[in-house]
Amino acid sequence: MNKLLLRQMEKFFGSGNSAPKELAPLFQAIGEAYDGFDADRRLIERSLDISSEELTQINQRLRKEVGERRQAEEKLQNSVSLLTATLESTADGILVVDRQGTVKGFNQQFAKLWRIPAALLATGDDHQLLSFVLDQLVDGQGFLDRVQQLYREPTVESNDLISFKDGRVLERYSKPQVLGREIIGRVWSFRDVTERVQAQEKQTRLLRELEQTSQRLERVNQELKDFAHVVSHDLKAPLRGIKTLAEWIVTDCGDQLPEEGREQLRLLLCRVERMHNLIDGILQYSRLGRIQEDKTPVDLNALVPEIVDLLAAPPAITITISEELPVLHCERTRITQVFQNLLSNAIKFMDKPAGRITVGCTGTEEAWTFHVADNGPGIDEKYHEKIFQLFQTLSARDQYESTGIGLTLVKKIVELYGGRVWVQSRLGEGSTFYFTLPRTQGEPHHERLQTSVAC
Amino acid sequence: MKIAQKHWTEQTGWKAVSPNGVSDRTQLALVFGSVDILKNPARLEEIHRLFPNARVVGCSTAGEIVANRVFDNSLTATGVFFEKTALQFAQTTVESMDGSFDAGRKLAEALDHEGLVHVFVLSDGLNVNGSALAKGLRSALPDTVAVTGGLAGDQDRFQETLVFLDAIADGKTVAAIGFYGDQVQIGYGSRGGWDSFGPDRLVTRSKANVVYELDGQPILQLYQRYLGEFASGLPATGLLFPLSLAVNDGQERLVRTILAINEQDGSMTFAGDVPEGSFARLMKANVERLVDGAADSARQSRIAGAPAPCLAMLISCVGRKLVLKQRVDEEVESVQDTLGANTALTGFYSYGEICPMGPDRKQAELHNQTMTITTFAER
Repeated sequence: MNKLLLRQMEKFFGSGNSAPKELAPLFQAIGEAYDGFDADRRLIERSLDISSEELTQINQRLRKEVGERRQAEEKLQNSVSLLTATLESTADGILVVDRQGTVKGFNQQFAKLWRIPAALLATGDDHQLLSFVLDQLVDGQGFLDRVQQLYREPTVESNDLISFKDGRVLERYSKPQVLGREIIGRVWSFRDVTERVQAQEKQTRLLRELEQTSQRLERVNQELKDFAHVVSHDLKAPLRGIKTLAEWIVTDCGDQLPEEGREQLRLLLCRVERMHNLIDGILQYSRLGRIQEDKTPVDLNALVPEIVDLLAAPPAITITISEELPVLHCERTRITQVFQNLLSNAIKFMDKPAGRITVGCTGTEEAWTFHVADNGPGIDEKYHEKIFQLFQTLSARDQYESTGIGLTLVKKIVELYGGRVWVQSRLGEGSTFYFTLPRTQGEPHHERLQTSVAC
Repeated sequence: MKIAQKHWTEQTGWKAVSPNGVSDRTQLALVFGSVDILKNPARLEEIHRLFPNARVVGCSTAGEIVANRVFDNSLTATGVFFEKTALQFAQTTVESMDGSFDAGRKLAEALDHEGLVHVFVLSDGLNVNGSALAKGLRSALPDTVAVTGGLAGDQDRFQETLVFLDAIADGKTVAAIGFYGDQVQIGYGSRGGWDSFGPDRLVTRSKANVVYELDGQPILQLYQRYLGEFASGLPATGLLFPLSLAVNDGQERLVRTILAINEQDGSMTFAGDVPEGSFARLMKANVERLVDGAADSARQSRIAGAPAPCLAMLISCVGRKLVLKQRVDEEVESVQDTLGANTALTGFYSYGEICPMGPDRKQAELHNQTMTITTFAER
């Protein structure tokens, strides 16, 4: 039984047992009610304790969350200030719109590029803004169509040019603005590219002109090439006629002519011979690049002695090959012409009683460097360039039989292979002609030189 | 409209509660009693003899309400004679909780809709999801028809409940009475008087009326912590802390009470749905607020301008009885005081109440921990 009730019964009835028997159920009910109230109180107190504890925890958590949120807010403010500074520091005009095309933000450069008055910007009225913008454009409808197409296709990025009536050209980029996974709008950026576009147009124009010029040049080249060939060819026949006639005169009536006449006829034959050589040289020269020859392995250790034999130098001249020469992969005739011309020059102009001519070669990974050295008269430095030009000879025609074509031919051939030719010489001491040949010869050189050869 | 009330206890046998004898003519006998007594076939036979022309509709209870008193382990039968009102009856069985919606729909379809003004429903109290049952009824009834009723009880044992129409049948039963005609005036009210306390708790895991977690914690742990020494009395003692559930975006609150606990998975089964993602708060009560709540409910059930009702059906939650204990009669008295001495009261302590959210609304909802009153009168 409830303790309080027991005490009360003891107080009023002496003891719990002396209460009237018929009242027992009543006391029972009262006891239960007491117990019930106690239980209720305990339960409510307990629940309030737990509840307040829970609320305290929630409060602490909320306080922490508020702190975190404040930090996040500061970060956000930082980001916003960075974004604003970035927006305003760029040379591009930037405009941000939502999915409906309503203006959500822009930088000052945007207003400047589009020349939008501050009063109009302040209204924030999309339609007014758009019509103001359209009025400035060469193709307003095209602009509008593109904008509307992009609003229909929110994921698409764009990049195009917009032409203004006043001649300016803006480059327009646009990209969707994505928040999480959702596209919430579009960022447009505009850049003034008027100067660039104008420069491009100028460049295109110049390129076209250049192309036309080069086509014209090529045509002229071809004509010239044909001309040189035909002319040289046609000149040879009458020259042969003159030679034959002059020889007949010498044979038939040489003894009837005075000594002076015979000498003049001899000179005539010499000049005819020189003219013949000139024409041959021109023919050879014009044939270079016209006639295709297959590249084969050419062993210079065999070729150079052959050439030396062929040239039949006077016995006073010694020709030596100082080093082992390489095997080249090239056109045999051409490389023959190079050595032949250099060696024949060295022999022809030799002015020393004991002539020495040396052929040699050094090599790097990229190229061979050949030389043909002599102890002949040498060449004044001021002529070191000139000698490679067509028809340039340093001595009087009558002193040495020279066409002035040989070195030009050498230069053309070496350059045809992508090499270089030059001379080192001191007057009176001899000359050394050098030329390089790359170990691999690309086709582009060939192409390029075909044109230059014809010139 | 005439009422004849009888009451049976082991000690007294059948006794008349009200004087007017219209037993032969009554069409409806409303019977409420404890499971044990109802299971005795003799009792129902006696009721059929008392009201030979009446359909007998009733259920087991967690306490019977007769006149202005509350009884345990008794049986009450209230004969109702309608002079200007037609009745229709329907019943169905429910295999499992999942069948609750269909049961409601079937009952609603079984009743003629022509002239139907009100449906009173009694449902098995342990194997039916009251929310789903109410939804099922709503789905097939005209919008103009209100539904009131309740879920049968089994003291504070939560073991077996009975619902019957004329005879006790096998299976979990739901029975419905349809009221027809323009002369019957039916009012209803539903009020609790509980106070929410403590923090809002997010329902993080639930399935229909089974709740697993609040704020990520097993719900059973929360209740055990709050109940302390009383945790061993679960699920009954869980009724001391019903859940207040925010519905319609927090605009309205529904009360959910506990039907069962599951020690294995830490879940608790409630009398109606507790949707995942909704917010719940614990509630507590005191005697005064509950008694006031019952009076509020009675006031709500009065139809403005109509005379005092002839009969009031009180369906009050077992949770209230557990809080009120010996003072449980006070809430019935406060209803009697509010409605007036001429209104006959019957009803029972239930495992759930069904009533629209307000007097001007028709759509039925499941409630818990309320005093839900349906009043009847004829013009």
